[in-house]
Amino acid sequence: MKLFYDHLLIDLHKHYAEIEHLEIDVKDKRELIKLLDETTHHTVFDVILQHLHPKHHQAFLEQVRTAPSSEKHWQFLTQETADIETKILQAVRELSARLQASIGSANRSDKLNKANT
Amino acid sequence: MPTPLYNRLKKHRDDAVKQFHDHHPHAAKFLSISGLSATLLLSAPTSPRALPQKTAQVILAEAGIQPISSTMTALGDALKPLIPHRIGHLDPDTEVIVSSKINDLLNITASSSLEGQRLNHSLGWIGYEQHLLRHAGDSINQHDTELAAGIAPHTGAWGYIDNPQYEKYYVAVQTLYLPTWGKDTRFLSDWYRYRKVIVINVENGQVVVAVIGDAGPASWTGKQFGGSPEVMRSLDLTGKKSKGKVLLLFVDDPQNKIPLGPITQPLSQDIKLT
Repeated sequence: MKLFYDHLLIDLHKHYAEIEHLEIDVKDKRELIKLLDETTHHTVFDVILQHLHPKHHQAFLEQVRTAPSSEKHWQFLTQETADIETKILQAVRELSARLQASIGSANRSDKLNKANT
Repeated sequence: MPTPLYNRLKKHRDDAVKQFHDHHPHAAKFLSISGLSATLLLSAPTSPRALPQKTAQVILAEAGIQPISSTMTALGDALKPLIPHRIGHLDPDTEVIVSSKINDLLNITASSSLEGQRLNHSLGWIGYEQHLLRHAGDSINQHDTELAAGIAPHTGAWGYIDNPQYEKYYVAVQTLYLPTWGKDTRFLSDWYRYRKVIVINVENGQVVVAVIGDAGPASWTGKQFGGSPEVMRSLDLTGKKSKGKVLLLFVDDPQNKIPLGPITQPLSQDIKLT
């Protein structure tokens, strides 16, 4: 499902690609991708709500729930916050760096375990 | 699936959820009071949605009384809100909806999995490929269209591609990165060779039916698929824009009734059902 901030997630593409290339069941890949999606989703919304006045939070969340991909959310955020896209991009970049470290070392552990069994 | 990778990603997820709740308890409370759990709102939406009714435009197009471009516009418009920015696969519910829309609008049965086979990507970047050799001694001058593309100096993954129509409408997919390629090479090679696929430019709704005729591209290119010059022309991905994001799905066409090439209007029921 497309989300209104999808275009800011380019830094995360490599992690999705890495998971798709793993030698594991499709079901297991989906579990990993779901975790990645949820991490991203919470991270992005954390940034947005930090910079959006609390009086707008409830209405904004309700709007997103109703129309997750609508570009109208940007019009609203642009009016009510300052340079929110840059802040989201920065948070995504930091998340990507943390994931890079985790996925790399966890992959090595998985391969080692596999080789030993 | 308690692997180290799963555990680490789960920890990232749990940390992100906790941080969100710590920073915005009022938002979490609202979600709880309103009957929407944080998980419902703050996980990538996957719940199935009701399919929209066919529009008048679509019904007219299916009846053959609509300008053909309207069908493709309808497809592009229908897919746009469903296609995520990231590459990989659609979530399962969205896959069902997309397949349904393709069936409704084009009368083609297509999906990312067929007979238990599935590529690592159904959504990815496609790049411009050269013509392939059809026989020994073949040269670019013997091809009839898209001569500027040139011809690859070596045969494709399956040798000479001796069916001219296949050569004209072929795609390259990353069979070499399939998880079991090393173990089941013979079976997989046979299964994927000339397998019929539908390729949809998710930006403009242009569609082409092609066969898998080569393996690649290498992962370092950042692309997941390659398209013959004619495929890329059909997708309106030529010239400066010789790379684009596409959805590539297997076509279920056991009787081989669906012709290769660009699709500009729904296939007639006659083609599909006879």
